[in-house]
Amino acid sequence: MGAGAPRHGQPDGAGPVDVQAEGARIAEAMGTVVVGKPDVVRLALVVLLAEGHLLIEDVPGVGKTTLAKAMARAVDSEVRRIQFTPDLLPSDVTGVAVFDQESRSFEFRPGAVFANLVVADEINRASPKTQSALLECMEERQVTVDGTTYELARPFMVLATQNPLEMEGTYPLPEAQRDRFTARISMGYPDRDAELAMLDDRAVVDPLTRLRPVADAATVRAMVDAVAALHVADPLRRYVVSLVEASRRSPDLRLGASPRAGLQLLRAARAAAALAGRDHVLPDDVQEMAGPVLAHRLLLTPDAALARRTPERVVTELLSAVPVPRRR
Amino acid sequence: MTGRWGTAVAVAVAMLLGLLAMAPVFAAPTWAAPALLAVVAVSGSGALVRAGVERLGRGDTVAGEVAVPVVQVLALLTVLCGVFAPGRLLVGVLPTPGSTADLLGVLSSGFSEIREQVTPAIPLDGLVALTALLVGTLTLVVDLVAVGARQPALGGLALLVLCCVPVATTTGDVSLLVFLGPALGLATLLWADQRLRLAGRQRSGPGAFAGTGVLPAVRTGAVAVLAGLLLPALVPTLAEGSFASGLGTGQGPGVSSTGTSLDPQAALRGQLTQPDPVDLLRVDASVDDPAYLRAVALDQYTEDGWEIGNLGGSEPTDGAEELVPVPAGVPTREVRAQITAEAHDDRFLPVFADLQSVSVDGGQGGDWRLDPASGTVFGRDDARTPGRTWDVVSEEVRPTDDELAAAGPLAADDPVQQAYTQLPALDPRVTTLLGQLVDGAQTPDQRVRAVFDFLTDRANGFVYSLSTAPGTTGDDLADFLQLRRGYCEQYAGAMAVLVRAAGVPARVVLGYTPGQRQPDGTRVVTTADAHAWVEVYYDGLGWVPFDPTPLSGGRAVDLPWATRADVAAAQASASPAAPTTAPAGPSAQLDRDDTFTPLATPQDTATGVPWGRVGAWAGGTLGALALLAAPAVARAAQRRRRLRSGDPGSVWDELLAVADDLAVPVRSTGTPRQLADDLGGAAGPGVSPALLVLAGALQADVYAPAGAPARDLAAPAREVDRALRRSAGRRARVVARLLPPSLVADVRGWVTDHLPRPRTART
Repeated sequence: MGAGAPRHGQPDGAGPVDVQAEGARIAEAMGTVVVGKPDVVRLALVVLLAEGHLLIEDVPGVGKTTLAKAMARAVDSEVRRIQFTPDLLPSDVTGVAVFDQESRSFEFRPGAVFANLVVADEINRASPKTQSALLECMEERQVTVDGTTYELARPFMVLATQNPLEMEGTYPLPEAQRDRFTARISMGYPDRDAELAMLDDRAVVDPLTRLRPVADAATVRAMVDAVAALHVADPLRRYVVSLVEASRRSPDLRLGASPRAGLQLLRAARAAAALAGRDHVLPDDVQEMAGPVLAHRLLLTPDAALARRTPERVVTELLSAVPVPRRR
Repeated sequence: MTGRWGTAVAVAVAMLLGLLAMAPVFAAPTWAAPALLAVVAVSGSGALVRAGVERLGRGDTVAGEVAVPVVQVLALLTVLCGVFAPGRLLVGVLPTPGSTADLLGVLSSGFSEIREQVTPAIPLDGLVALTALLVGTLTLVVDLVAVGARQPALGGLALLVLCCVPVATTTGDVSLLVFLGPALGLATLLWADQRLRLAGRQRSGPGAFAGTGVLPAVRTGAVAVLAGLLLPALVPTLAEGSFASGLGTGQGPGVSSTGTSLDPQAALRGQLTQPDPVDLLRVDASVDDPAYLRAVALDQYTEDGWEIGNLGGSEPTDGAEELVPVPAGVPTREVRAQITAEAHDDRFLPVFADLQSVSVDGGQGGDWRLDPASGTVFGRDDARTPGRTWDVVSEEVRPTDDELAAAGPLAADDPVQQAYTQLPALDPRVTTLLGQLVDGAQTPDQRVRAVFDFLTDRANGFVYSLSTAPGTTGDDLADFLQLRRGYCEQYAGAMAVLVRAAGVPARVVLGYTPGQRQPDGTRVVTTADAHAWVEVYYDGLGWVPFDPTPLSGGRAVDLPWATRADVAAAQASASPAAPTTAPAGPSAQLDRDDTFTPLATPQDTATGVPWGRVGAWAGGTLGALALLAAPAVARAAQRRRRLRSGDPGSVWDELLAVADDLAVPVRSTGTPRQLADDLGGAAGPGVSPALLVLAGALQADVYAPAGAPARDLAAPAREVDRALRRSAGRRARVVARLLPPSLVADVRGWVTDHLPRPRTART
């Protein structure tokens, strides 16, 4: 297999999709809005193509929501936004069956998850019950209400933002639910020039409104299919497994990476490779994705936490300790 | 693969040039042919096998690597068997277990010959076989290093070994040839080395012609030769033999540095040698093979050793006839000679045995008397030999074996029997040994033969050495019989004592071997010809000389009745058809003389060369060199295997090993790009394209879908390798060559992998 793998995805009868070119276009478009954050944009794109979900963690006001909105606009697709609050109900997320007086039957009113891109703002402000309702949708890509199952759209991606855990009025996401996010990134403050430019632009017009879509859902689906078909060599699979295994043996970690983490790491690496225009995945892709994909799943031991080690640091150490295969 | 052919030829040429160094070790050039054959066989078979393996496409496999030395060893064996043990060959060519056993026999006899011979040595079979084996083995090693591991310059070490043999074995000045040959050989190897490197750099370019590297090679070779010639002159050294001249006064066998006469007080002690032979006598004899020149007989044995008895002579010798009466009916031959003293200065007149008449300076040479009992001619009233010429006539007694065997014992009250069997109390070990030797021997002759054979049979391990080892028994004679190291005085003294102890009259005679024959037909006797031997009294035959000392260099006089036991054994084994009891024919010693080529300068034959020690030393050096070179050779072979495999993983293994060797920091667990980054950081930006190619090839090979086109990675790998070495420090480079850390790590890894581990290691 493998020959011409990236040209494989053409679900809509269109020609072969060039993941790199399309990706570059989307990233460029998003870049006009999310100024000075090409890495973040790229990672968001990777998660989109890996059919994963993104957890954006940072203080308020650094552009988390803007990133989500920019992506939604750049890819001409349906976007819904849920502001998570302590009183948000699960049915607000999934949808609810209401009784129609006229037809005298129950009619399903879709919740916020019925969209291609779902921006879940401040997800850790909602109650665990509501959080888990969203997370179930994320995993299963379907909603079951009153015994009826409703498929979610494709592509489907949740961009959840979360304030740092120390902030007031937050319910931390349980490990099991954090595990469902493919990657976690932190926006970080823009640098001085970008911030200046931002202030300049905003004074006139919101750049989001000027953003023209450069792709549609069908294109993204084709890209996703192409990514899924990318060639992954056996040594690379071995490398991913070694990394995941090593995290479980690390003395600094109370909880290592799950098998799902390995799976999502490989998917993310595939997407990164496709965005780089390659027809195969390199260990460099895995290394690039290892931090964002693995760090938020790892639990430090109390000793390591006291020593002010961070999960990111532990991942870096894992990468330097696990040998990259040099043989088939 | 012309590069490998060229290197193989260079190795052969270098070894042949190196052979020139061995020339001074041998007295005749017959040794050269087998050694030459060995070189050609090893080099040629190696080149052929490599070509064949290459053609079969097995050039990279372990089997291909191993096949070369195996075939080379077989080729060497074939040549050695063909030359030295042709008896039991298969189809006349192929060695069989039988012929191999024969060859081993020849080789082991070579070790004995090493012990007994001095340089220049007679090229006997065993010695030549050993030489050919040494040269062949060296060629194999050099070939392996130069062609196999592509390090021709390292092969120069083997030439050093060749150089060491003459330097360590010959005395006096070493001829220029010893250095010139190996130096030229080294230059050849350097040229090959240079050519290989340059050719590797411009693989396909038109500039890679055969002349590449000639200039550096010639330059290095010239510097080596010049340094070899000049440095010894500049470095203060102890002049050779200075110890001898410092301590040897009056102690040597006729080589005291003031008088050049024999010291009759021949104590059985190890003595030192005269550094440079001095011409003593010139002999113009009527026969081609004159006998030993007697100077004085030692006829008294005391606890201090052999001593000269009282001399007495009633009449001046001039004009007297039949000075020493010859028994009737004994075969004799008349020998006439004119003897002239050159540096000889003594009161004892060297003359032939069984002297009939002697005339010193036509009767005007002073008062010389003959002691009838000992046959010694001595001067009275301060009559000495310098400047004198004396004419002698002698009736040399030449008994047959049968006559000797038939001689009965003397009567117990015979004065000769009484005078010449006197002994002090002997060490019990000596008498015990003698009892074993003469057990069952009836006649005097049988007893004499038992003792003679014991001393002369090589199997008993007697070694000719001027430096006798200090004994532990407290008795010089017992020491000698135990340690079995000594020179003529020990041999002659021991035989005379044993023969006396066996009840047969015997005495020790000091004198000279007949010296070297000159182009004008005369013979020159030097201090190096000083000698001691034994005379045994046979009833009815008189005093019959025996020489138990293993002499070499053509010094020995053939005594048909006293063939050495080892020579007889060698003859018997060499020609099984011939009766073993036929020593009357030309003996091996005569054969030796036939092949002997007199050199212009008298040889310092008295100088015992510790061949055994030299052999051990050379072997040790070779072993040490091999040991030293082993990591380098192993690493080079590993490197070649990896580079030639074409497998990107192997090529990268090699690059990382080089980095490890040179202590270049590399993220060993990194991805191909990271590795390339790290190496590029150390090697400089010049090699970035090569590194990109290498990293790309590794990625494509391991991670891309199958079907990636294979590329030649050896060239970029070598480029990176060179850049890394250039950027590393000298020390790192030396360490990388001699004791590559990567190899050490490999070995350690192998050991830990193969050792049973009691508990699993963490991480």
